[in-house]
Amino acid sequence: MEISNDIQMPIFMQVSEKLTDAIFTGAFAEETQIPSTTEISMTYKINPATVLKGMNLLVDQGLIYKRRGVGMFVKQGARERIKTMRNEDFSEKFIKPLLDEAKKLDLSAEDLHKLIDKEMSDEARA
Amino acid sequence: MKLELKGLTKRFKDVTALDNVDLCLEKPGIYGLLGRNGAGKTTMLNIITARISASEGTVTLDGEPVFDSDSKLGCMHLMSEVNYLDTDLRFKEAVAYAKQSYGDKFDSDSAMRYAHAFKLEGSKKLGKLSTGYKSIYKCCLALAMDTEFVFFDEPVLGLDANHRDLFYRLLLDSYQRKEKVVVISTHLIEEAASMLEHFIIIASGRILMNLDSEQMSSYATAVSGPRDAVEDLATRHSVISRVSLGGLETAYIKGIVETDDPKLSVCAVDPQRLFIELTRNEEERV
Amino acid sequence: MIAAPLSRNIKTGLKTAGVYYSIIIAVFFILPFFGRLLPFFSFNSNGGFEACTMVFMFIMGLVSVKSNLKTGIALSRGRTTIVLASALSLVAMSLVTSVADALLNPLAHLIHNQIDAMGLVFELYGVESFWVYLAWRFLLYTFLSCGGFFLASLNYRMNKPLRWAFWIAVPSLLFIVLPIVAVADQGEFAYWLGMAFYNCFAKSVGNCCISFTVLSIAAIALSYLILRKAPIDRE
Repeated sequence: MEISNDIQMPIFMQVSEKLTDAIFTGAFAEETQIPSTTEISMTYKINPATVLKGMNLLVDQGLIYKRRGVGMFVKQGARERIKTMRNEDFSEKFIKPLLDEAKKLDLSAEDLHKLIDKEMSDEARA
Repeated sequence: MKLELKGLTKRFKDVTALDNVDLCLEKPGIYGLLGRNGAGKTTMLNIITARISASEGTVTLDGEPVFDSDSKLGCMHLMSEVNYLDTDLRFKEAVAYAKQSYGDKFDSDSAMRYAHAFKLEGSKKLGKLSTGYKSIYKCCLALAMDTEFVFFDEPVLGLDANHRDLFYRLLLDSYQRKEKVVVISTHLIEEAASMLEHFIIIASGRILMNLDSEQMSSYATAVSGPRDAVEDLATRHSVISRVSLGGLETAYIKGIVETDDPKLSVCAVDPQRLFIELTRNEEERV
Repeated sequence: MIAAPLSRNIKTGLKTAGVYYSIIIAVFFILPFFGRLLPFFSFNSNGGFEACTMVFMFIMGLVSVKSNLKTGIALSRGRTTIVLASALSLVAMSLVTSVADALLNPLAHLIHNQIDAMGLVFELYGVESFWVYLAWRFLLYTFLSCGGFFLASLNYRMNKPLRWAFWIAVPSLLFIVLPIVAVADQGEFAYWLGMAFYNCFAKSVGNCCISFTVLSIAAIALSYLILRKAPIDRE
């Protein structure tokens, strides 16, 4: 029986997500080579075609590019780009589900604001 | 190369192990052959590689029959649970034999490299190994094959978790060394699923499903929630199976289902769960 | 395409033959010396180690069926190639053992100082040529090993009840029915059988060689028909 509430992400999306994260955190620095399809495929035990699909997603987003005969490299300014993209996605990804749940719980906008303020001040103290 | 099974049927004394199977394998990729015990997986692989003959139907490679053709059989390799090599054969001797018989379609260096990764010494005799290492011995040979078709029948039998993990990674190494049709028959679906591009599900001697991984992930949706809400949705769709827990019900529904009902939660079904729901017996509903 | 299974079969055969000849040399050529040195242990051999090789070659044919089939299929070969590789390896092994026996023969004669196998053959056929003897012995071993191969193939293909029926029927036919028939028709059938046997194997060395060859080919051909569709999926 499935208890998980969200629709699972397809594997190629998970691959692109992992790579994006690595670029964003600086694990893969700009203008450096990222691991090859083979390496990624073997590390995560994922079909190479799926890995390639995930990588192509990053190429389409303009985060990585191919150097012929060498491999894939992180584009200059990729981190900044990811930040922009994540900003754009923020409301879709986090605010919307928050509001959905709030609706089920009959929380008003004011209640939500209060909760957010409280959490933020708690975090600042910690 | 195109491997084609047409109307393949195999009858043993009192059972029909394969029942009019049609299948075509051509595009390189990693295929999962899934089926319950006795579904006919091994029988099918044994017929393809001419270990047993079919009662009816044909196996052809590029249109020509495979059964007694050295050149056609030389394009395939089957790693099986049964040991076919002499028990006193050392691993390095087996490598030499494989090289001699498969020629360019066998990579001796890779075989030794894989064996080294598993800590299988070249001087070890097949008969003197434990169950797990017998599988490893045969796996290392099969992984080094560069034939157009490589079949693995329960390759990870008796392997511990680390060795299974290593096997999967080496399988991907082997596949990327040379692209070919790799078919893995396995019960450990969850472990292998992320490597599989294609799923062939076989039940009581028939091909139940033949889908690529994308079709597989959108094949069914699990909907759960209060019984009447699930019931209401289920009547409008084709239901694979249902599980209930008190008033909470989960229905596995064919296709992608969307609903606005906030009481219902909808999620994708992973391959192992889908396989179980598709092939469950009535007796198993306890 | 036949090279791989053939070389494997021959290699396996040579290994077994190596063990066999070590035993033969120990029993027939070394033990007798101790026998002479020790008066209480007088080893009285009849010098017929060739009879042992005959049994050895027959068993070689018997045991090679299953392992050749399995290895052949593991090396991805078709049935025709597998049977052909088996037959050729038996022929090769017969050549090796017949040459070895022919070379060991004078030595055995020297030690045991008795009538030997080669002498018996010369006496029987009235020829005295080493090469004829070698050819005859080679074909004899080929015949025995191919015969063994055929019987094992038959046994491989039969299911349990059939196996029982066969292994009871054949000996009883040979040792019960045949003598009864022979008595019943007052020796006519027995005479005919004896003459056929004489003409095929004893009349001349040439006839005998032809008989061995024909029977060997027939045994392999029948084995091929038997094994053409045989399942090879068990250990």
